[in-house]
Amino acid sequence: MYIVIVGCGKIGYHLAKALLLIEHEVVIIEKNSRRYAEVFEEFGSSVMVGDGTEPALLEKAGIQRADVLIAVTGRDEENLVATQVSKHQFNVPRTISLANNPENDNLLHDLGVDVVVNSTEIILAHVEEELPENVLVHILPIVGSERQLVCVHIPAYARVIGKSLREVILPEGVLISMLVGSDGEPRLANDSEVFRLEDQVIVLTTPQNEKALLDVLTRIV
Amino acid sequence: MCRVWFLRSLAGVRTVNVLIMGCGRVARIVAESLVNKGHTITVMDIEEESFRYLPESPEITPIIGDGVFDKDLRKAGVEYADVFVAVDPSDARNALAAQKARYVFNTPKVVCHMDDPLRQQVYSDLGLLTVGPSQVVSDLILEAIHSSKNNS
Repeated sequence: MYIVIVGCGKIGYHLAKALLLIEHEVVIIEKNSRRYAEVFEEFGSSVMVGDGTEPALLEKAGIQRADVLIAVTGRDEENLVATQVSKHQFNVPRTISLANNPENDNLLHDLGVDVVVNSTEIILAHVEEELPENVLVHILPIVGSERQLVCVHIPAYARVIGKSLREVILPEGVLISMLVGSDGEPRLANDSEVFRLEDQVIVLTTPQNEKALLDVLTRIV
Repeated sequence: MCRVWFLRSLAGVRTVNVLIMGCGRVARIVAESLVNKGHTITVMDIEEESFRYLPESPEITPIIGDGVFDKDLRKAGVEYADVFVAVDPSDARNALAAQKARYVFNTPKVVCHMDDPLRQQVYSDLGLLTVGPSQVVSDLILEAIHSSKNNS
C-alpha cells in the first residue's frame, strides 16, 4: 500500500519504520526542519519537510495515489486539516487521525475522519481495569458507530445472579455478547445462560445506555 | 431564541453578536465597523498583548482564550454568538475552531480565513464561508502593475 504520514514525531517515526519494515510504500511529511534533519538519515527520500496541511505539498508527496493518510502530529488542527484536504481534495480512501485532545474525538469523527485514535481513552481503559470500584470498563470503541464494547463486573448480591438472560430486560439496542466467569471460561450469551457472581459481562452498548445497563446488571437485591 | 434567525445582511434592525478569534488588524477593523453599526463583539486571542490596539468600547469585549478549545469558546460566549469569525494566523486553527463553532455549538454563520486557494476550495465545498486574502491582494497588485498609474 502507499501510505502518507503527516508528522514525524515519536508516533510518526515508529509508525513509518514499522510500515516500511513490512514493505509498504511510505512518505512522511515533517514540518520542523530540525526534526526533519534528524530523521533524514534514517528515511532519506521517504521523508519530506514542509506543512502537511498544504495541498501543494501533499501533491508532491504523491497523495493522489495514496491508499491511506495517517495524521499523527501533536496538534489536532493540523491532523484535522491534513485529513480533510486528503479526503475531499484528493479522495484518499482511508484517513486515520490522532486526537490529542479527547474532546475532539467526536468532532474529528463527525467531520469524516475514518479512524480516530484517542490515546487518552485507550490508556484510561487500561487504568480502569485496575480500579476495583469501577464495575464498567470501556474495552473498544466500534469504528463508524457510537457504540462501544464494554465489560461489566457482576458484584456480590447483584439481583441478576442466578437469573437467565431471558429473564433480564436490557435497554433497547444493548447486546450482551458473552460472559466470562471468574474461572476465566467464556460462555456465549444465549437466552438460557445464567448470570453468576463475579462474571465479567461483555456488552455492546451506546454511551447513553451505560447508566441503565449498569443499573440492570449491578443493582443489589 | 432569536439566534435561529439566519441573517442575510446586517442592515436589519437586530443587534448581532459576533465572536472573533484572533485579534490582529483584521479583527480590529471588523470589530470597529460592526460596533459602529450597533452590534456587539467579543474578540478572543491567546495573548493579552494582541488586544493593545483594540478600540475600547462597551460593545467590544476582549477575552483571553484559545478558540481550539471548547471551554475557551464557551467562556467567550460562542453559545450566544450569531457569527463566528476565525482570523487566527494559523489556517489550521481557524479550520478547527470554525468547524467547532459550526458543528459543536451550531453558530448560525461562520466565516473563516483560509489563505491557500486550494485549501480554501476544500472548506468552501465543506460549507464554510471562507476568505482568502492572498488572491485578493495579488489581484490588486496585478491591477496596479498593469494600470497606467505611476508613482508620482
